[in-house]
Amino acid sequence: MTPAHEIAADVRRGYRTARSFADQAVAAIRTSDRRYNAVTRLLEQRAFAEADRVDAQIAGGGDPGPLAGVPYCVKDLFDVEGLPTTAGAALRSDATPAHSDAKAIHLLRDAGAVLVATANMDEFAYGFATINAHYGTTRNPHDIARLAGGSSGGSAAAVAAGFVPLSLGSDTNGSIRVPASLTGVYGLKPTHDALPMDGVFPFVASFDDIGPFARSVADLRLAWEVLRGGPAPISGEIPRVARLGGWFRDGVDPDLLAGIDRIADAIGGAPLVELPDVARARSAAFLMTAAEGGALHLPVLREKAMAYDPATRDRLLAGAMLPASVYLRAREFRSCFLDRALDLFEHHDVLVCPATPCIAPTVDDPMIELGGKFVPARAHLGILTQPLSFIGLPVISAPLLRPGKMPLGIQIVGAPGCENRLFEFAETLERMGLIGTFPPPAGEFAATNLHQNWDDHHDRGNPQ
Amino acid sequence: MNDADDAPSQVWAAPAIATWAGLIGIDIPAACLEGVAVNLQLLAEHNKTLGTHSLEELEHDAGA
Repeated sequence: MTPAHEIAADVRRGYRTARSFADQAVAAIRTSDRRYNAVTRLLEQRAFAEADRVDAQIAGGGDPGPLAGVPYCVKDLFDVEGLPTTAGAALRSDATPAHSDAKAIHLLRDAGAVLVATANMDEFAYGFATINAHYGTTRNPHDIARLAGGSSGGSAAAVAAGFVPLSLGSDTNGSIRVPASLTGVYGLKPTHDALPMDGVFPFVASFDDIGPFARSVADLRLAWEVLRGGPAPISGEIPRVARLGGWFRDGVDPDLLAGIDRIADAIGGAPLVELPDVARARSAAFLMTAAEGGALHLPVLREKAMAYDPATRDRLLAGAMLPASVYLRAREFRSCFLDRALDLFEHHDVLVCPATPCIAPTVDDPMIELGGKFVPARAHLGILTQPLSFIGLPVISAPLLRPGKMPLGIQIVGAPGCENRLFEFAETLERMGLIGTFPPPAGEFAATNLHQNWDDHHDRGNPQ
Repeated sequence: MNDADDAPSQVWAAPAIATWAGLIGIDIPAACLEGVAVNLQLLAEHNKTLGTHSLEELEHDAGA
């Protein structure tokens, strides 16, 4: 799939129609998604109508906007007018259809983008694996025997597979950064509350954010600027960069640490610094997530507990049983931990650390090794992302450039509100050839064994 | 949950969980009790890691 900024340029100049790009995206999903299970609902009629509207604007001498004709998909927790917002849950498959689109979809549409599909996720976003009892497991385009990560795994895989150049996900504890790392694409977790959450099914209000996935820093920036309401000024300053040590290097894949160290060497050095009390921060995030998620779902759990995915249900029920004192202590700790992080940003503009401890686990054995024990990937892949979203920091997850190998991502972390510095640093690393997307091995894109009709495979409630 | 740090493992037995859940108005289906117990144990471990406030944190809170 052509990069988003090139699609928009071609459509705005009249070189190609938005409809041709929508056709291409729809055809790619129909042909190849059986391998990945990234998409839950193909919105063909809507996509063609939106594309035709963009083309009519061009024909009338208008400018549809900076994302003119760019096809994209959204995680299945964004409201899409006329459809139930499933949040990945079977029990919501017949929910009342959304009256209007989520605010983020409005913004993308007003910029000329074309919504083509909704994407798979862990049920109610509670997981790092996109293993969904009802909608199936999303597979990694770099190796379909492996997980795509989650909970925004469908959105990440759709971009990694080349179905669309952009997608939207949500990140509470790492649900954009983890799948971005495992599928080898870029993802942005913005400063908490910086991007509009209107019309997004909630999980943990204290941490929930939305953000884009893309295959280049330029495309990620383009989507971010549309979602934030305009371009950001260029600082042009050389950032002071440090590497996060301690917790963020313990037990991490040596190739990933070597990649980060290569970045440090290439930019003339980046000291190792420690963020104190990270283990406590991760635990506090875990507890707050359980408590807020449990409280949110308790009314429905009381009525329909057995309609949940068992793995989600049991986590939510346990969270609902937590005493308030535990939740409040975790929340109090958060302000102290934020102050410690802000102390680091007195001396450094950008912190770099791994996004995941390892490459994508296999679908058949979704476990990872932490501290000498094997633990479920679904609950633990976010061990390096959770402490950062706990305090609302903006983070870009960027893939180390390592063609021929399974993807591994780094986190580029900044102080609240400093996304622009992260983009500038990521642009520099991309120009230096240190980070970047690379195609899955030959054959993963190939339409082999795809004779089964897409609609036969996706037979779980697409209303179109 | 309050006694998780030092409690013996039997505190997580199904009847205890069902009792605690019932006290706060949650009727946990029998099929879920084992899974809930596993997750409560995980939360207890995180509660232990979080620990209690240090003096520094209390000072921070007082100054906030």
